[in-house]
Parts: sequence; C-alpha cells; structure tokens
Amino acid sequence: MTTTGLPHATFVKKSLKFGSFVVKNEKPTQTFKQAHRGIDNLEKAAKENVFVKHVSEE
Amino acid sequence: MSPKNNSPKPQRFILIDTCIFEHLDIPDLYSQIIFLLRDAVSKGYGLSLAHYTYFELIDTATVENEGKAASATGRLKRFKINHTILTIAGHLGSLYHEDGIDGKRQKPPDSGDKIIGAHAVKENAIIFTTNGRDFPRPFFRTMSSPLLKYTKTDGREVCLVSYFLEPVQDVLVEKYAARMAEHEKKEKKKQEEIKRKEDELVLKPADENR
Repeated sequence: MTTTGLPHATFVKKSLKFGSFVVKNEKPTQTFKQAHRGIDNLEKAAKENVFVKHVSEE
Repeated sequence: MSPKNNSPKPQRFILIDTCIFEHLDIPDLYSQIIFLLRDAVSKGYGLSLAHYTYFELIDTATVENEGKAASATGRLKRFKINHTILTIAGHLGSLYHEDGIDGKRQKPPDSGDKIIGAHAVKENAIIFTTNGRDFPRPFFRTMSSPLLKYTKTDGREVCLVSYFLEPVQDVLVEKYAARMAEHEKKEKKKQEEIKRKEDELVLKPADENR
C-alpha cells in the first residue's frame, strides 16, 4: 500500500502579515494517543456507513 | 535525524478535507485512507478537521448518523471559525480572483474551501484532500500525491489522486503585499486627481475675469 510520502513532521513557527494583523501558528496540543483513537473512531464509523455521500470523480 | 514518534504531542497538523471522510465509506478507499492516516501519525503529524467540515458532515445526515459523526471526529483536533479565519478566507478569495482563478475555466474554490484553506494558512497545517483544485497553486504546494484505487459498482477500476498540500506562506505574503501596494498606488493617483481638479476650480474664476 502507498505511504503518504511525507517527511517526518517538524514544528516550524510561521507568521505572516495580512493587512492589519499578524497570523501566527501554534504548536499542536493534541497527543498521539488522541490522534490514534481518532483513526480508530473513524474506522468504526466508516464500517457503519456514517459518511455516506457519493465520490466525486475528477 | 530521529523521528519524533515518541513525543507525546504531534509537531504539525494534517487537516482532513470533507471529501476524505466521504471516501471512507467506499471499502477499497477506506483501508487505503486509514493506512495513510496511520502513516502520517507515525511520522509526527496530528489529525484535525475544520469546524466547517463538521458542518458538511452532518448537513442532511440522519439524527443517528449525526451522533456517530460527532463521536467519530471527537478525538480529532477541531479548528473553529472566528473573525481571523473569515478575514484570511476573504483575503484568499481576493488573491485567487486577482490571480485569474475566477471560475471562467473551472469551478472556483467555494466558501468552505477558502475557510479550510484559511485554517491551513493560520496553523501552517497540511490539507489532505482529493480535490486538489480547491486549494490552487501557487498559494498551495503539493507535498505528495498518493494514488487511491477502487472498483466501482459496475466493475470499473478508478484511480483517484489524493494530495497533501501545504500553504506557501512566502507567496501569500508577497501577493498580499503587492495587492496593498497596488491599492496605495491607485489611492495616491485618485488623491492627485482630486487635487488637480480643485486647483482647476480655484484658477477658473481668475481666468473668467480677464
């Protein structure tokens, strides 16, 4: 199966000026445990056809 | 460099687009998407969705499915819509329009796409989608594009390209600054024109007395 092909994640502080305000990102507060449980929940929901919509064909 | 797998917190968020949730209900796609999400988490990414995506998931859903969608997405980080996000989304729309992404040749990104794009810009997050055109270049850059395969009910095999896209902050800053500079230039010209007309009016009575 194909992997994401993404590099290992690193936190990079970014800020950009949009008009009168500066936008800054913050380091994620979620834990890996939460993220993994999130996937487990998605798996369970998908088995129950929760997100039923048709697939757009591009 | 060693991966940050042991860190209790992810380093960067992946923002899952609505279409990815919808693809989860296709058995072939479901296993591939779950595999990609697990791979991403193992590489140090957190998983998130925009509040707008949540709206799209429960829009027209049954009461039962609404409850299940809430529980299914409960562990994912949810980015909320506020004044900053709506302002960035509006600015993105203006930049797209001025860059010729105006819907003449293809469907332009809709409001929801701009809101999701704004979250990615604000958090420097990576968007996971199969609708790459909703997050146009040069404002977003493709980090990788894994192929997803599935078989349709009529037996046809379909290949779907998924995208991991990140906002290109330098381009956004540069294009926004150019937009503001152009506006200031026009304003200056307008003020000069007003002043020229005022000067003409002051001179006119004197001309008539000659």
